[in-house]
Amino acid sequence: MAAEALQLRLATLPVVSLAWLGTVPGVVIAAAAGLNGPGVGRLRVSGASIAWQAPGSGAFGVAVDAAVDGTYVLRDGVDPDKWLQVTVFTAFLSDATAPVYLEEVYGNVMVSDFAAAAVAAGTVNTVTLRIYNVGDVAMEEVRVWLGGLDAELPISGLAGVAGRCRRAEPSNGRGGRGLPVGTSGLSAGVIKLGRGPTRIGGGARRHYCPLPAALGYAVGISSDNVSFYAPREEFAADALVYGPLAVGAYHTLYVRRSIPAGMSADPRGRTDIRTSFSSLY
Amino acid sequence: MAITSINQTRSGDMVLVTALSDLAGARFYWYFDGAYVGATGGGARGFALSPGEQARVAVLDSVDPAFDPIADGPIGYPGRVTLEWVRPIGTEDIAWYLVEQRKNGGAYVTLARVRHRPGRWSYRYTTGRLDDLANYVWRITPIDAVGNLSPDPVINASRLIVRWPDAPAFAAAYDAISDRVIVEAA
Repeated sequence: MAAEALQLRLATLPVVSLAWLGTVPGVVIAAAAGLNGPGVGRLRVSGASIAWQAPGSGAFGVAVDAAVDGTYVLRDGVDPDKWLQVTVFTAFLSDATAPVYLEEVYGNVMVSDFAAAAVAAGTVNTVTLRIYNVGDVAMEEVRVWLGGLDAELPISGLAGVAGRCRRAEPSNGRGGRGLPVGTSGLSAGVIKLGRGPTRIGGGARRHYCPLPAALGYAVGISSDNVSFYAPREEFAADALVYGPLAVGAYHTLYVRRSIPAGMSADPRGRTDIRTSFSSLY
Repeated sequence: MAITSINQTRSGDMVLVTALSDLAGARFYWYFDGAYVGATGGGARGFALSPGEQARVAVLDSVDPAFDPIADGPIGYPGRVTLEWVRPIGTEDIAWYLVEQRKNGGAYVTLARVRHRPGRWSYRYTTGRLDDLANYVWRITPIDAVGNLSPDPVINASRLIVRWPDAPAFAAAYDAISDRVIVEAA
């Protein structure tokens, strides 16, 4: 199962954590892994082959043969978890290499700002997100926890972001990576992707995906909107653990941000949320 | 980074900003109102400003071929948005693209009409300065040669604009007795 099989949505709309600018003829960018950016990447078309080089990477990924109209996932040559999903219209393809500018998106989950009076008095805000299985294989387990919190953030931000998952390597885990995410005017959030251990028994593999979340001074996540937790490790006792997730189905994630009275605004704070899923394939 | 001086010269709606660097062979990376707008081999770039408009221009110089103007750029809070769209597939009768914007749920206002060019794959349009903490929606609609709008916009984008840090709130008043302008926190 590909990493992009897990998708975070606000209602029915996918949450986007990176904004992109730039493409090549015949190619429309549909999604970008948060792990890519921000920065300047490159798209290269040669014949019907398309390749992606993520910002800061030293090499293009393996070129994908896109001889037929459709959607393809391009992967960076150094880190295959830095992927780009594109829709290709072969009739318009022409040899070209072009920069793709990736920038963080803020405020993509919090659709409105808090009034100053509400902030001064302190407030609590809860956002409902959905974790969809948009792949073609059922997931066995989905875990959600908080990680990489920026202790210097003066305020939490909800935020949301999200994005799609990426597949963890079927070997030893590696460190987490940042995924910028947006938030509202009062705060900001970021998501970081976790990479961790991978192999589960029986050939199952673990995947890690970015999820939107609100973090900061007081951020909690919940699967039932009743009991909120702030787990810091994937296998922490209070990590959220969801059961199987069928293809096309979703789990509900509640993210609650508590803003202490008298906080100041910071639209660019970043915070992380981490998730993982496993599947048999 | 060793920019030694920055000067600006205005001519009509254009402001030419010139930067000098003591780095040999440096490239200059330009940021306009917090957004990266391009690089130049020489230390000069022009910016269009409407009468009375003010903007913030930042420039970095670097000789590092791996310099990434976004990842390595200054933290910015862009006050403008660049829209990008791809020509509609399967629709050949296009003459223009109508670029519209609405703010905080208000009525759509036309920003521009961009000419369609056969053979061109994608287009870009950069908005004017946007207001802090306002919700904007942009709609780009193809128009045929006789002015009919397509029922299917090629873009429906929205964004909450957050510009930070906020400017300090202050009030300025002329005091005739002291013949001074007094600036006070509002």
